[in-house]
Amino acid sequence: MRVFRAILTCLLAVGLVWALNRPWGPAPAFGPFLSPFTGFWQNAEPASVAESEREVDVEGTTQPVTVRYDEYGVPHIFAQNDADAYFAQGFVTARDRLWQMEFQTHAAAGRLTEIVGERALELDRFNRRMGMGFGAERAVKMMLEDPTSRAVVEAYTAGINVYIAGLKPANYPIEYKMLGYAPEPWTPIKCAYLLKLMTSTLAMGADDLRMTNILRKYGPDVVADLFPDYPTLESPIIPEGTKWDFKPLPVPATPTDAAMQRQLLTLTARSFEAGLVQNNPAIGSNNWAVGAQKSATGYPILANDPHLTLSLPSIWYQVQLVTPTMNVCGVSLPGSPGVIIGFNQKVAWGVTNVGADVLDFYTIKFKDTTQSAYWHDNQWKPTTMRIERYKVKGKPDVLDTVRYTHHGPVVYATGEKALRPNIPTGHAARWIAHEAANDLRCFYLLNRANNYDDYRKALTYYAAPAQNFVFASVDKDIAISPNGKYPLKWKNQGKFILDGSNPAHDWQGWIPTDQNPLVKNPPRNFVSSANQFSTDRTYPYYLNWQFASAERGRRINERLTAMTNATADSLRMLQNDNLNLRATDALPTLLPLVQAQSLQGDARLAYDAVSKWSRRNDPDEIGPSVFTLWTEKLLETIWKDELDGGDTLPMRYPSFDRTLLMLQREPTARWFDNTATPARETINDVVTASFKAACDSLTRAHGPLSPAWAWAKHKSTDVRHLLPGVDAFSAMDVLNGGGGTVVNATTARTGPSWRMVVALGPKPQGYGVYPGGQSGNPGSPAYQNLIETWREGKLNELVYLQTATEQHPKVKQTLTLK
Amino acid sequence: MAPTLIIALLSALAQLIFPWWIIAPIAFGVCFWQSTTAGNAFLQGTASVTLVWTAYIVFLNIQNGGVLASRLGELLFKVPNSPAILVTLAPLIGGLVGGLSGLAGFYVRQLWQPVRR
Repeated sequence: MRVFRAILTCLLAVGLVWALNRPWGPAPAFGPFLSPFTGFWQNAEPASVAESEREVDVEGTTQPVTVRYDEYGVPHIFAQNDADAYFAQGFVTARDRLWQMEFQTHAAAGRLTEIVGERALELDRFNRRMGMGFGAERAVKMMLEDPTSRAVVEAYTAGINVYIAGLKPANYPIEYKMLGYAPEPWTPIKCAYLLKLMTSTLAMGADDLRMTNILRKYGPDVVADLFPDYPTLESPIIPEGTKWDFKPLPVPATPTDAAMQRQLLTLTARSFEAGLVQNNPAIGSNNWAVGAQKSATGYPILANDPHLTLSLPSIWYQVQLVTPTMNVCGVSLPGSPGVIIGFNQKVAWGVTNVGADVLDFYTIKFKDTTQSAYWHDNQWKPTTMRIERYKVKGKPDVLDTVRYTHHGPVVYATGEKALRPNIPTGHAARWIAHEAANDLRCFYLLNRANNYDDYRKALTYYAAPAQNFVFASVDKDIAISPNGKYPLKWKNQGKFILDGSNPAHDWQGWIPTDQNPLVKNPPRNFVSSANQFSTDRTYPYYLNWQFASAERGRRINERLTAMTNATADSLRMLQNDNLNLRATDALPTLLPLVQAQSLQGDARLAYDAVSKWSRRNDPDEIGPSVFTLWTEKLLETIWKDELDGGDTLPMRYPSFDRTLLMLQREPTARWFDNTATPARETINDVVTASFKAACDSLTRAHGPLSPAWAWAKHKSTDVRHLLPGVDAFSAMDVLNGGGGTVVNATTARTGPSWRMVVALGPKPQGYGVYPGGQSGNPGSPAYQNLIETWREGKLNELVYLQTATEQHPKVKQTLTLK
Repeated sequence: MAPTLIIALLSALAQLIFPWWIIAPIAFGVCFWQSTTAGNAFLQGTASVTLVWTAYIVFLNIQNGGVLASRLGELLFKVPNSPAILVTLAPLIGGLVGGLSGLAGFYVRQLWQPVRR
């Protein structure tokens, strides 16, 4: 009996310890996780920041580095040389954002299976098959061949690794504890992965397959009619009429072999194995600069707000880097050295996405099922193999072979649609992210730029994702350039799937960097961009047949044209402009088309509300909720019957711009009829039905028409943690205005990830805010302390210190790295 | 009383260096050495670890304004704004490990040294 109870209690005790020391499914190991000595309690940082001075002994700096933290937790780094500055940047960024840096680069590298297991395999496989690893390897090679960028990346890497080496498991960021793993050493290729991640976010849109299917089903005339190459309403980034002061290269001729075209359509698969990422129209950005003549200060003022999928830990990390030859301030991407958007004593710059077509798909005809050779230029050429190994948490490794042609990786096998079983086809991706490039060098030079010439030189190093680089200097120059590495294409090359066997379909070289679109000090005294068309139709090269819709750009240009005596605050107010230009464009057409007498109840009230609506997407308005849903339903009602082929025949709808033109000018167009019904629907039927459908779904979601329909509540912006489903670490239901086609481009999940305004002058003054906080730790008071300021549309003054010892009321803490 | 204090002191120090489960062998050892009854052993093991964990947790939680315990309460139990759940629950789990280990220590001791009444 005694023996029995001794053994039993020992087993119970050991069993309990064992059970508490291991993870159960997605739940963490509760013993170490709940212990105050090692668990999440260790991540519970003091709620108030006390003034403090600390010294840390680190191996790796040549001289002591002083890091001064302001009240928002922004580090201001004072170093005696470049290497020490980037070392310190790596160190302090890791201190605040280690988990995020590693998680995002794991995602880019297709390594999430190592952390979260099999459920990430398809996503990982997609990223790797798209050639993210292939591109990152080429990029890091080039980065390390250049002595300048090599020194920067290596110092930054060393700083991160010194921080990791000094970290005890009890101090790991909380996500490591929740998921049960440990940080690994940083390597330079991770910096490359981070930039590839940006390319995949901003330049992975491809409508090639969808457009090809529409061509297949409806023919070239319908495609030309419904998917024109320039919109009705536009206000391009480079002002219309700007002269191109260069002699363009000859543009390759468009292949016109109709037989070849038909053969290609037969060969091309109607659908790929996995869904392609469609361009997300809500991911865009605004930037502009007003010239000295327009500003109240007599110096240019510059503004930028990049729109991304809002997430926590915050996308951006604010930093100031000071060496004897540089004093730059702004935001960095955690995992990439230097400042991406910001200013120094002399210049300020910002970026928005261009959206050029830099991802094309080629139909590949293989010699046989081994896929070791493919047909190109009338001969069989060998493919190369790249073996991808996935380490899956809790499971054996998974191996995957990806075939590479000279175009790029064969991302998709064709499946059962091959022409003949012995000649399999697949689709290879030619993507700008595969190019070797040293984009970091661009930012290195911008951080140190003194004038317009330095800006021009910096831009030549930048490849992808192509960005509209806006610029302003204390010399009173302003400029903007949709800049990046652009393939030299024939007109509309890549609007449809290309023929991988025909050399005429290859990318034909590159647009010379100095012939990228550019405008400096235009007569209108401002420059701007909002992802709309880069140029009017006179630019000699082809960039894309479609860009983001023009409403934001048109509104910005309208307001800047009217603006005089601009101040930083006028630009801030423009960033928060809520006028819905899509509504002012469309409502005069749409409202009279509604069969108003047929509306009842809420629909009747909603119709009155929209009619009286100010056309502003302000938080308390009901109009934007109705209008936004209405236009969605309208597009669906008009186009779904003809242009939704589901997964078997992926297609897409025409743009809103084109649809509105049809509503205005072609009231009897065949497209208004719903082909699924025997009756013939008219334009009025369609507009009315979609309006009722919008009201019905609002009633279902929020009850009868009431303040619950208010735009802010309906839109319900969430800033979510990077781990799906972890709402407890997210900021949910942030109540603000804005919208996808509004300058204040806040939608349910996307929005201004950073808002900045910089007034240049003898002493530049920057303002900025982002929806989150400097710390990546959900247990820190600085995790989301800036969200309220962001929600209100306000900006914080950016602390811009001149010396390491400067007294500043907002600077609280000093950390010295010795 | 003495065993409780000894376990509390030893485990507080040891947990600064060793993994969390060091509380188990400490409670086992001290109760093996000191405890007089099974009930005492269990109570001493439980009380000592609960005490240490509670004290440290309350300190960290107050300093943090309950922010993180509140978030994790929402994450683990779907109850928002209730840091008290984890502040209460976590020490009890540590305490249970201490208690069971203490009891095991006492019973193992009994194999050598039968009960003195």
